[in-house]
Amino acid sequence: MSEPELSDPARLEALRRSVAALEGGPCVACGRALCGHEAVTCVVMGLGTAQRCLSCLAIGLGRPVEELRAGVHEHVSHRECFGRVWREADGRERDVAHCPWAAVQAGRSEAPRVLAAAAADDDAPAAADASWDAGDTGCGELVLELRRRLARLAPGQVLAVTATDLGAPQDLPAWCGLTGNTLVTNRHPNYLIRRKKER
Amino acid sequence: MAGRFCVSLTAAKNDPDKATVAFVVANAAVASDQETLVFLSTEAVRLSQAGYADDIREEGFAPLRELMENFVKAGGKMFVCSPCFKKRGLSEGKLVAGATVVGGAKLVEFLAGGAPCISY
Repeated sequence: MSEPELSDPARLEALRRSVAALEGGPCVACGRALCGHEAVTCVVMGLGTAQRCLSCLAIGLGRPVEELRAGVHEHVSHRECFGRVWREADGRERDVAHCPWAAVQAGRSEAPRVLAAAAADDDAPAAADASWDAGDTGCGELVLELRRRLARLAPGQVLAVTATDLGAPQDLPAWCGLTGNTLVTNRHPNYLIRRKKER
Repeated sequence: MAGRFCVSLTAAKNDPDKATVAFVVANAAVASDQETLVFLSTEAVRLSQAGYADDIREEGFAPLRELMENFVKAGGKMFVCSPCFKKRGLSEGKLVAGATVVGGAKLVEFLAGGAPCISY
């Protein structure tokens, strides 16, 4: 990744413009508005117009979100240019609940979890205990593997699923209804499913 | 109390007779106040594409396109098997009215509470 030097104000300004263009815009996967730090993360990772929130980025990379969150912070902390725009984003954060890094810095004690998007008129975002990228797997294969993965969780825990199959928007709600598991959020291709509390 | 009724169809232009009769029966079900579903799988998924059924007309029956349109207007719905749909490279943008791409769980949801199902 190329890094503009602080001695090159023009490059630093270009970096600031890139961050500003992404901040507040929608995650291409779930639609959630990106915080300033997520915008910096997308620029650092060269995502261009494929911007994603931290949660969706973690799902796409197959990494735990807390590991990705810490890794990004570590990376930008040791680079003057990215560190500068990161600290500038600190000053703009207003909603601790919205920013994965601000939440940690505020000493919030909840267990490390993936923050997932909610619809604009939903309550506070749900959290996930595990994630699975099902790709375009569909029909019986999708729900059979879903059943297996959900069974690995404890009752009440939440699985974040990314499923791009055309039938998934119909099938996952149907499957949840049939099996008694809860479809917490349903924003194709991203779903949160809570394992039912009793067998 | 109205019940449910499912017609499972696996044929299209490869057997236009079956494709037509399936929708004739489906129309009988929906006209009898049954919550009626036509499940399209394998070759029958081609019927979900606008224009495909236009030249299917079996002697003694209305044109298949008309049968399908009347079925939907009367409240019937069509589920289109997702894996069969993808395998044939069909277009979501060309789905006819009343057709929804689904997987197996959605079909199971319809049938699981108990519904007769006739297959063509």
